[in-house]
Order: sequence, then structure tokens, then C-alpha cells
Amino acid sequence: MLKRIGICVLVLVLVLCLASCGGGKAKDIDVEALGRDLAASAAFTVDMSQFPVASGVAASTYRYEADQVESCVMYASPSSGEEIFVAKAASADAAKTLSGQCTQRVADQKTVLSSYVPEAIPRLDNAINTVAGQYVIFVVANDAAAAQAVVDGYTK
Amino acid sequence: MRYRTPALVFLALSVILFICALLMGFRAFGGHEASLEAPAPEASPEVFQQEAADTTAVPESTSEPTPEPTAVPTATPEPTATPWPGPATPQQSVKAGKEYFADAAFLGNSVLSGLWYYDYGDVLPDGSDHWFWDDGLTILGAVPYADQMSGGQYGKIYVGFGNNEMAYDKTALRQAYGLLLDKLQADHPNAIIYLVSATPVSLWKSSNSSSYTRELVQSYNSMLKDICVERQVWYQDAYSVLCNEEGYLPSDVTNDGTHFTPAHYELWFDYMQTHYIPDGTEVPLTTDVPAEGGGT
Repeated sequence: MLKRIGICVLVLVLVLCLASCGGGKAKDIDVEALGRDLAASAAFTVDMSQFPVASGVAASTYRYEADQVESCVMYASPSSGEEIFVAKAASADAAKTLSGQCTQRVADQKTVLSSYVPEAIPRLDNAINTVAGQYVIFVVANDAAAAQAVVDGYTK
Repeated sequence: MRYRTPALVFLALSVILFICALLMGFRAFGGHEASLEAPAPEASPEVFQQEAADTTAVPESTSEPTPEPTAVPTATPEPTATPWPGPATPQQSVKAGKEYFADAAFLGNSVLSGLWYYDYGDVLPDGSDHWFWDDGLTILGAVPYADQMSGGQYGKIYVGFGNNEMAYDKTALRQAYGLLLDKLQADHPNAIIYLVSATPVSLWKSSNSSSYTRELVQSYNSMLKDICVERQVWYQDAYSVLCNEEGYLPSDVTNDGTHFTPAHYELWFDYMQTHYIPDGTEVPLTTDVPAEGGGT
């Protein structure tokens, strides 16, 4: 009898361990809500909620094909070089590719803005470029730590 | 006596035969009617057909068919010279929509790109094959971007510069516009070209900078109007719809004194959609400039 109870307890413990140790399914992220929360945060020098970008711009800005991204939001302030881009890619692999495009975006913007908006350079140096499953979160903010705190609330 | 009769008979028979031969030869070679008179000129089948359709006299020469009777041909009339109505794009009663802008290209700086970024109505086309721009771009650096446009088929081209180079030497600016327009008009001879005004700067920016002032913006735009007249292209007066009564960008719509909010872009969108040259309009033929008073 005790032997059976012990075996059941052992199996139960093993099951619990597997459940907690496994990677688990990536969290679903509300792309628009995260974008709104970032735009409304104090992480930026301007009120980013005033600068939502039209839907057709992101694909050209981050150079992806339309079928690689299921949904996205973008905010961009032309005066400060700050921007927010939250996207749900078509797959985890597509998300990694998209993240690579965001890295290239940082390099391109540094070239363009170095003389035009020089205060944007340190912001670009501290850009957030996170991949969470199918999701890509790219933020160029004056206060990267504040922006990261908002992102963490959706990814952890 | 006996020997003359056969000879006479023979002679008569010869004469008769000769006459018959004459008649037969004439019949064979002389025409349909056996006649000793000169035959009438033979009409060609085409002339017969023409005569059936027309009561005018048959021309003497029938070597060429008579032309179809039409109105008296005249030389193509010289197009009536249309006075140049001034460089300002006229206002239209019908608002231009997505169809009008589908073949548009936009070449300019970050201020111009805001039209794309904040086009929530999806009126303007998307993509790098319609938008040729960069942050900080000036007219002096425009030609390489125009090179990228060479393969496109555009019905209208919006050129928007000024905010980054308003303090530059005017001679150099005029030359740069000339080079750009040379290229655009050569590559896109049928495109309607709009030169978009420099947009206003805020009072704060104008007061705290020697390179970005209200007066420099106005001077730049005055130069643009002259170029429009010289080159027969159209002037888009975005400045007037975006500035306040004092000629400044309102302070509550800008963070840096130059760029402005999407809400303020709505004024510009509305202007673009109501001030345009309809597709198919021919370029005016004169550069007579009516008297124009006042500045920007």
C-alpha cells in the first residue's frame, strides 16, 4: 500500500516538475495594447500617442514582406527619432528575421540622424529589440529602462 | 477580150477582200464601236464607281482615283495660347481621392514624409516606389533620389524641400532646382510636377535660430514661385494652410518647431485633395504672369 502511494507521489512530483521546468507556450501578446501602453509611458521625450503611423508604412520602414507579419503597430516621432514597433510575425522564424531588420534599422537611423537629430544616437544605442515567440518588440526611447518595464509587463 | 474578164474578176475580188480586211482589222484593234472616228477616252472602273457616288464632274485624268469628298481640309489649328494662371495650384470642386494619387511620387524631406506616415485615410500610395525621402534631405541632394524614380511611371510628382536648407545661398538653390527639374521633366515628360512650399516654423524656433526663421521660409517660397513660373510647374502652398495668422507654425502642434502632429497634417491633406491639376490637363503654353500682390 505504501509502495503504491509512494509511486503515485513520485509520479505527481515528476509531472509537476516537468510542467514548471518546461519552456511552455509563449505568451500571447496584445500588440495594440502594448503599443498604446508604451506610447503613453514616460519613456519618451514626446507624447508618442500623438504619432501613430499609418498601417502601410511599417513594411517599408522595417523592410519586410506583408505575409511575414500578421499584425503590428508603429509610432514614430520625426523630431526626436523615437519610435515604437510591436509586431506579431507569421512564425517564430519570421520574428527572428524581423528582429534582424530592426537591428539594421538602428544602424540606418544612426547614419541618417547623426547630424540631423544627434540626441537620437544614445537612444538608438539603447534600443530595445526583443523577440518573444512570434512577437517582436522594438523601441527607441529616451528612457530605455522605463520602456523595458512596460515590455516586461507583457512578456514575463 | 477573152483574157481581160478573169483579170477584172480577179481585181474586183482583190479589192473586195482588201476592204473586208480593213474592216476586220479596224474592228479588232479600234475599240468596241466600229467607227472610223477617234474613240472617246475610256473611263476607269474606279471613275465609274465614283461617278455613281458623286455628281461632280469626272476629272480629265483618270490615272488616280478621285478622293472621297470630305469637308475642305484645313491645317491643324494652332492651339490657343492659354494664359498661365499663375503658379498656384487651382482649387477644384471635386476632392481628389485614392485614384488620383495612385500614380504619384513624393520626393523630399522628413516633413513631406509625414504625409505618408500619417495618412490614416489611406489616400496616398505606399512603398518605396512612391516615396523617395530622407531625414535631413535638401534640394542639393535630391538628384540621386530622382535617379531612383527613373524606372517609374508617374502621373504627378510632389517635390517637397526647404526646411533643411532655407538659409542656403539662393543661387545654389535655384541651380539645384533647375538640375532636378531637368531630370524629372526628361524622365517623366507627361507628369504634373508640383513644387511644395517649405512649411512654417514655430515662433520659438524662429526666435532662437538664425537658420530657421519665418522670413527665410517666406523668402524660400517666393523663390519657389518664381521657379514654378519659369519652368511651368505648379506651386503647392502648404505654408499658408499650416501657419497661423502671424505666419508661424502653431506652438501647440510641434515639439521641435519644424515637425508637427498628425492632426495638423490633416490641413495639408485637405489642401492637397482640393488643390490639384486634373489628370489629362495640358501644360499651359505661355508664361505670362498676371499681376500678383503680397508674399507668402
